[in-house]
Amino acid sequence: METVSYTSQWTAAARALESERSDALFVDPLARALAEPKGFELLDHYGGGGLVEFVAVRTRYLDDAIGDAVQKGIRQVVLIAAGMDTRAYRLSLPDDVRVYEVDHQALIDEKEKRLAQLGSPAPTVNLQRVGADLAGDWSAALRATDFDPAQPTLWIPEALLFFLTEEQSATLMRTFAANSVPGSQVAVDILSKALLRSPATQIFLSSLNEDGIPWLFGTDEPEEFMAGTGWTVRELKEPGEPGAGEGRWPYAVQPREVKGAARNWLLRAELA
Amino acid sequence: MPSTTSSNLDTVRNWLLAKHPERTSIAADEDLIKARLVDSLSFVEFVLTVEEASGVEIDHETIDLEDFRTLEAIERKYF
Repeated sequence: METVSYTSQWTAAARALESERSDALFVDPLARALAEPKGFELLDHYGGGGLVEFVAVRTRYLDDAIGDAVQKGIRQVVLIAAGMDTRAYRLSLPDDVRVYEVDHQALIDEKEKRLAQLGSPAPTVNLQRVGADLAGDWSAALRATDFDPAQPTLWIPEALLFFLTEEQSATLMRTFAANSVPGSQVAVDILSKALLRSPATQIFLSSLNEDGIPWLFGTDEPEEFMAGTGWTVRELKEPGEPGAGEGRWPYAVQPREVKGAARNWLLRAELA
Repeated sequence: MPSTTSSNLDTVRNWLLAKHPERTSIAADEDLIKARLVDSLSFVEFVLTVEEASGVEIDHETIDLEDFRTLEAIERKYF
C-alpha cells in the first residue's frame, strides 16, 4: 500500500478509540480491525496535537452533513479518497441514496480483502466502489457508473486536502463543481495556514515530511478559497463549537480575530 | 524579586499541569513540545498564559520556538 494509505490506518485507530468511549460521537465496530497492522503504532508516533479528538469530531460532523443533505433531498454521496472509512457500514440512509467510494484501486482491493476477512459485513447503504487515479481524471470513472451529474450530489473529500497542494485542492473542488448541478454540496475539513505555520506544529510536520506524507495545503480564508472554486460556504465551524464536537474538544476555541491561532475548519458549501 | 518570578513561572507550570492531569511535575529543562505538553492547537493559549504571567507583551508573529521549549527558556526570556 502507498504511504498515504497508512494514514487511513491511523484514522481507523482513532475511530476505534472514539467508538469505545461511553460518550462516543459514533460507533464504528470495524475500525479496530481496519486499523491493523500499524494504525495504533502510527497514532502513538504522530499522536497528540488533538489528532484523535479531531478525527472523532470530523467523522461525526461529516456523518451529520450526510444526514442533513439526504434530508434535503440529495440522493448521491461521493466519498473521495474514502480510505478505510466505514460509513457505508454504519449509516442508515434511504434505499434510493447512492453512496460512491472513490479511491485508488489498490486501496479498494486491500479494503475489500480486509472486509472479507471480517466476514464480509453487508453495507448498510447502497454502496459502489470506484477505483480511479485521484491525481488523474477520476471523474470519468465515476461517470462510468450510474452516477448522474444532472442530480444534486454531496461530495466529501475527508482528510484529503492537506495532502494536496493549494492548486490540487482547487482543481479537486472545480472538478466537483464541473460534475454538479446547483444544490449540490461539499462537506470538508481544511487546515488553517496558521496551523501549518505554528512553531509548535513543526516537529509533527517534519515527522510527516520524513515519512513522505507532508502536509501541504492550509488556508486562513476558507470562504475565499471555496468561492474561488465555485462553491459558496454555507456553514463554517471549528471543533469545539456547537454542532462540531462541543464539549468534547480539549482546546479553547479561539475567536476568529485571534491572528496566528492554529485552526481546523469544518465546512459545508453549496453550488449556487 | 526572585520569589515573585518563580511564583509567576509557577502560573505557567500550573497551567500546563491543569491541562495534563496525568502529570504531577514538569522539570525546568523538559522539552514541552516533545513531551506533547504544548501542541499547535494549544500554543496560542500557552503564549497568552506566559504573556499574562510575565507581563511581557509577546509578538505572536516573531515568536522563536526555542524560547518556549522549556520552562527555564521561558524564564530566561520572559521573566
